[in-house]
Amino acid sequence: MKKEDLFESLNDVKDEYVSEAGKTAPAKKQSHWLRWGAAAACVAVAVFAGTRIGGPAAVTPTPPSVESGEVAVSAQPVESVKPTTPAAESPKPTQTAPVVEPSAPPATVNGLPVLTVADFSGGMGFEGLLAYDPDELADSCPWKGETLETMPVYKNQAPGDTAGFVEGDRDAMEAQVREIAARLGVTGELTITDDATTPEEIAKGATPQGPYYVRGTAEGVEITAYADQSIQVEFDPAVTLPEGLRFDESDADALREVGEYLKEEYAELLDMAEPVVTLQGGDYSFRGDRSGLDLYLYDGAGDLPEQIAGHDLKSAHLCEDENKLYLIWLDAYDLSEKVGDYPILTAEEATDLLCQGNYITTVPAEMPGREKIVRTELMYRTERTAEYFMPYYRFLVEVDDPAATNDGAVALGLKTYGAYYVPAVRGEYLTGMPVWNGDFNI
Amino acid sequence: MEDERIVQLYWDRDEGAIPATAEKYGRYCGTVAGNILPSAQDVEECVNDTWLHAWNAMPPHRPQLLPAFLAKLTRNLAFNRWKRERAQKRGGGEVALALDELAECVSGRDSVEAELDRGELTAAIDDFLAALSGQQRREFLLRYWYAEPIAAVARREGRPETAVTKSLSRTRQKLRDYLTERGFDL
Repeated sequence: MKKEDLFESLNDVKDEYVSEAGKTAPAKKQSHWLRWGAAAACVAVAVFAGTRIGGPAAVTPTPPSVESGEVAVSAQPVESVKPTTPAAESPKPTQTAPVVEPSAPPATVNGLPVLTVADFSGGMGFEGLLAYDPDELADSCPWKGETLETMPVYKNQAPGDTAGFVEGDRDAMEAQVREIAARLGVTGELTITDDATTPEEIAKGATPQGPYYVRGTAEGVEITAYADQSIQVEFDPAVTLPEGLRFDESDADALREVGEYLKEEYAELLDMAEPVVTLQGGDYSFRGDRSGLDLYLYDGAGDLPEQIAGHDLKSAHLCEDENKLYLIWLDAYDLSEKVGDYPILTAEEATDLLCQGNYITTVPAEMPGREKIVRTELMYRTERTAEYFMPYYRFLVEVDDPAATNDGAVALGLKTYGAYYVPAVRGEYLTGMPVWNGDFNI
Repeated sequence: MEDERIVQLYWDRDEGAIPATAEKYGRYCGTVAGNILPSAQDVEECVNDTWLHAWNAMPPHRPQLLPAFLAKLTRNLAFNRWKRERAQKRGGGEVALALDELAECVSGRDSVEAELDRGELTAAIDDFLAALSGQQRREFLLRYWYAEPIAAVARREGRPETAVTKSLSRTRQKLRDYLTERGFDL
């Protein structure tokens, strides 16, 4: 058989597999999306199938995404957008409701620019976690229910297009690579490469496209700056830890010890005023395998709103391979432009909105009720399409709708906790809330 | 527009089907073709061919997953065009690299069974893919179905390139073993 025969035979694999892979959106950290197998893939595809993909028939080669930013948005909490449909008052995932067009918003309210709510980009599946008990899920959120009056909102300095695809500034990314190399103490010459369209490719008719990443390679380390404001530092060979430390993803205490060591060892690289060790993960696959805990450091300096921003916008993911450190994944969000401190809802107000159906979610099931909420967090979302980084209340809610559960997981006794979001900024400061068109297309 | 409505437009022989498809899936199909074909003009022509083939296929076909149906048409058309280009020494690009990797799974010789039962092979590959983890399957298909560069696969999965490269290598080896055990003349 020839390789071309095999390539062509792949063309006829199951549609579900093609969709599953094509749905995988460019993602930095997306470890908590439930991606069911073939049977449920249809459901997940259906969730996204009713909404748009990035506009007209542009044929510029960009990473495939069957749809870009598809979300189920149930009604809206924005005061400037008046619900006018029965579905807006009483959302039902299987009913069709016309899109509510927002009225023209004022440019500012109380001196603060009105914020546009971003679409949520997603991959195949939906955002949810499997566990036997919600306490098994690591809770790294610095907010523990405190009442806050305001939260800072930042301008996203590198928003992507409607598909979330970002084209970077090559010189700026190379400067980032060199800065990180300097912080690491790399003394050897860096070999710089990027993935921009080459002159040879353009000469052949390829569409010119700027770089998505710029990479610097030196002995023992590879530093990659991505256009979506993240930086990957990969060590080759991986870094051996001192004797006695165990980079064991199943042992929270051991991981925390490793984190405390690494935050000192890489203090210059991390450039955090007050690095805080934290763990994420702890959920299960639908086959019942528990995922390892993920070790993170975040900048916990400042007051609580700043700590929350640090947790979500200035963090580092430390990855292990055979008890060694082989990768540090850094947020590199440019937070230089703070739009303002915005008045926010209380958790109780946000919960009320959630229970009234005013939420954003990728979960293919209606919010099942207040008594099903198992966790509330206050956090920032970082959609590539977002114009702003703004705070949201994130509710983990136990769902048992067949559209959002997996038979195998249910048989094992695993529960599904779906993520539902309510923008934390008060409604009078928001506009452009995408309104679910009521169609799950199932 | 919902997929069912678009499909119905084809069945109704409504010419609005094509602009509706192009608006919703033009970018997606353009990406599928663009990963295989280096020329923007070729990509555009290939995508337009896709709409024509879709028009000819529906009816009688009524796809359950319209995007996958369209992507398959596009990939097939793009690869045929790529082979023609290669014959004129103008092929290459990412798909050539992906093919070289797939070469590890096959002998490179013409099959003794001149007419390989492609249906049986595809069914076996489906079974093989079903047994992979979701991540392995997505990475395999992003690389060898969508012809995505490894760097892009890594970004989509949130993993380092070396990890993806190793994973793909293991999956290719598994595929070769799997098909050999089932008697395919590789």
